[in-house]
Amino acid sequence: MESRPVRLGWLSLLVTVVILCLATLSVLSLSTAQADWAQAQKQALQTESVYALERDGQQWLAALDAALGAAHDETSLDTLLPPDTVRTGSRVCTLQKGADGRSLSIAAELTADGGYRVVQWSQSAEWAGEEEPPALFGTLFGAMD
Amino acid sequence: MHKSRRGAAFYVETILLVLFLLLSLTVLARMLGTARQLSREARQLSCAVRIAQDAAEQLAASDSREDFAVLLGARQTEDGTLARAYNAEGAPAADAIPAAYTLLCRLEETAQPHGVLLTAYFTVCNDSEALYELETQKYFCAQPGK
Repeated sequence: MESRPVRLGWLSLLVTVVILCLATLSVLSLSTAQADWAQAQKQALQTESVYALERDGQQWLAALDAALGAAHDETSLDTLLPPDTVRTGSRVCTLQKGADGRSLSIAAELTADGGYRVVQWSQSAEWAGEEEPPALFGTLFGAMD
Repeated sequence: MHKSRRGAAFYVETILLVLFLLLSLTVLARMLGTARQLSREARQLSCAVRIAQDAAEQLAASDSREDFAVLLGARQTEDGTLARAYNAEGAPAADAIPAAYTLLCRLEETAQPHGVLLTAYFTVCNDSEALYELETQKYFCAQPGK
């Protein structure tokens, strides 16, 4: 009895190639979308961190203004200044630290009429280095779960 | 006999090929669907963050609560919340046009010895859910020129 193997014809080959192309496209598409999503979440967290420090800074300004209004002389001003405030002559400054290594540096010049003028308001962040990128298949399976 | 065996082999091959095709397409369709959903969510979140950030910067640049409302170009709702419509690209849109995003801003004033500390709660939402929330503050000195 003659036995003939099932032969893969040109149609099977074509379908296999098309499927491989589609699979490659899908993998690239999913990994790009996953990276976009991670980036958007990172942006959202950084924005929250920036404005958490902004709130701290505005509260510090309110406390400074209250201290300037209540102080009668320089000695009493030093005791009334908000915590973590350094006064050097007519200049007061503070460094507010955020939860993720970000910090806000504020400096204000005290004016002769008992007020203040903000001369520095800058945020900075320490670069902690790039995180290890997730493995491609870990990303894919994580995204599809 | 020989011809019918070859015919059966052809049918078996065709069935296997179709099954493989269907299985592959099912998996790929699921992957592409997931990618599309993730991409849409990422775009919406990114846009919502930008809208909230713009509004927070407008508060930082304003000199009073009224000044902020004018800068934001928002309408006031019945409960006192400021609302502003945005299109799909995150640009301010006219209220008459159905908005892709809506920015809601609730303001709370806290009296300070020599001024007011204004807290703004921003919520950016689409037609079904809140996408992003941001809280910021601005201190308004009662005598800014002193």
